[in-house]
Amino acid sequence: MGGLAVGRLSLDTRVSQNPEVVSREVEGEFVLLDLESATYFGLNQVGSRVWTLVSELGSLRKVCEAMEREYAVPREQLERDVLSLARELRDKGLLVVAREGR
Amino acid sequence: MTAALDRLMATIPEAPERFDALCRDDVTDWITLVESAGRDGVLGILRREIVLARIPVPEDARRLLERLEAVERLWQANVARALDRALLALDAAGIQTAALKGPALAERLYPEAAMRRCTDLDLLIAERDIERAARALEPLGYELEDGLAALYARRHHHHLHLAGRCPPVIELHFRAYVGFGVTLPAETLLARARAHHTGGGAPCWVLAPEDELLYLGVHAAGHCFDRLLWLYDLKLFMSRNPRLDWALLAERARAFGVEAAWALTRDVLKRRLGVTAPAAATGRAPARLGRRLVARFVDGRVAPPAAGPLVTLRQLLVMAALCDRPASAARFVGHHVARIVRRRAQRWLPALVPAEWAA
Repeated sequence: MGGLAVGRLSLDTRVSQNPEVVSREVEGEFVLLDLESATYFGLNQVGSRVWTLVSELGSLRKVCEAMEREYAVPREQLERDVLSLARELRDKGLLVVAREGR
Repeated sequence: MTAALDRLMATIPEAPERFDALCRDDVTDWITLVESAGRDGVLGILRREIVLARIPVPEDARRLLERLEAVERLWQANVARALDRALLALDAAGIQTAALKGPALAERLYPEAAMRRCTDLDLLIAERDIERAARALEPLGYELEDGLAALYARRHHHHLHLAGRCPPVIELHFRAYVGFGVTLPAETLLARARAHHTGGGAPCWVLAPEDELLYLGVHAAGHCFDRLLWLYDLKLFMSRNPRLDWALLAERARAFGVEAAWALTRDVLKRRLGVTAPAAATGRAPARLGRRLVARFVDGRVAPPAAGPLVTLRQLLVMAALCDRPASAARFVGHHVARIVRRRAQRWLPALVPAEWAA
C-alpha cells in the first residue's frame, strides 16, 4: 500500500466530512461548525482545499494526488501534512473514517 | 467599547450617514468592537450595515468579522431548522405553541433572520400541556430534564429544558415569565396570540403585539439588559409595529405587575439606543432614586460582573428593586433568601434536611 501513516489513518483510509458538521466558505477559507458540540473551527486556504477535496474524492491518497498538481511541494511532505491535518480533523470529530481502502 | 457599540446601533438602520461618521471618527479599536458585537448578539446586524455603507475596516478586524458572521449564519440555519421540526411535532400533537424570541421573531423584524443571534429555542405552551409536549418532542431526540432542578422549575420558574442529541436546547415555557415577584401566565398570553407560520412553513403562534413587546421588555430587564440585542429587538419591534396600542400595553403592564420593569426598560432603551416609547406607555416608574440606582447597574455605566454569584446577586437585587408592589418584593426576596438558606442547609447538613432543598 505504501504511503505514510499517522495514528490509525493512512493514505488509503477513506474519510468523509461528518454530516453533523456544516461549513461555509469565506474568502477562500472554510469555517466549520460542529452542530453536536456547537463548536466552530477555521481552516486556512490549504486546509480548506483539503476539506473540499475530501468531500469530492474521499480517499486521502487521491487528495494528495490532486494537491500535488496544485502545489509545488515534495510528495512526501504533502502526504505528511495531509495526514496530519486529517488526523487532527478526525480527532475533533470533523472527519469520519468511512472504511479502510484496498 | 459598549458605549461605542451602543452609539453605532442607535443609528441602524435609520441614520446611515451618522453610522458612517461614527465608524470613521468614533471607532478606534475595531477588533474590540467586533468582539463586543459578538458578545452582545448584534454581530450580524453590525456587519450588514458595514457592508452596505462600505465602511473601510482594518484587515484583521474585517477577517474576524467575516468569519464570525459566517459561523453565526451556520448556527442560525441550524436553529431555524430545529424550530421548524419542533413546531411541526407540537402542531401534530395538537398543542398550541407560541414561539418566543428566536427565529420566529427574527424573521418578522430583520431583513434577514440569520442576522439575529438565537442561542436556543423558547416555546410557550399551557402548563397542562407539558407532558404531552415532551412526548411529542421525544421522537426528535429531546428529553425533558428531571431531578431536583426540574422539580424546582415546575414549582417556581417559567421553563423546563429539553435537551436533544445536538444543540439547540429547547426551553419549554409553561409560564411566560416569572420574575419581579409576579408571574405572566402562559394561558392568558396564548389566548390572545395570533396564528403564524415560520419562514420554513411551520405553524405556530406569536403573542399579540402589545403582549410581545411587554414580554420582550420584561425579559430584557430580568436579564439586566446584558445583551444589546434584546434592546435592539425592542427598537425594531416598535418601528415595525407603528400601530401599537400603547395605552393597552400600559394597562397590561399594570395588570401583570411589571410596570416598574417596563419603565426601566423604556429608560434604558432611551439612554442606550435613543429610542423613546410613546408617553401613553410611561407606566408607574419605581421611586426616582431607586430607579437611578438600579439603572446604573444595568445600563452599561457600571461594568457588569463577568460570572459567578455576583451575576445572580445583581439580577436578584435589580428584580427586587423593580417589583411593583411591596408585597411582591417581600414575596420575591423571601423566596430567594429562603432558597439560599435551604441550599446551604442541604450542603452542610445533608442527612438532616430534605434532598429537594438542594434545588
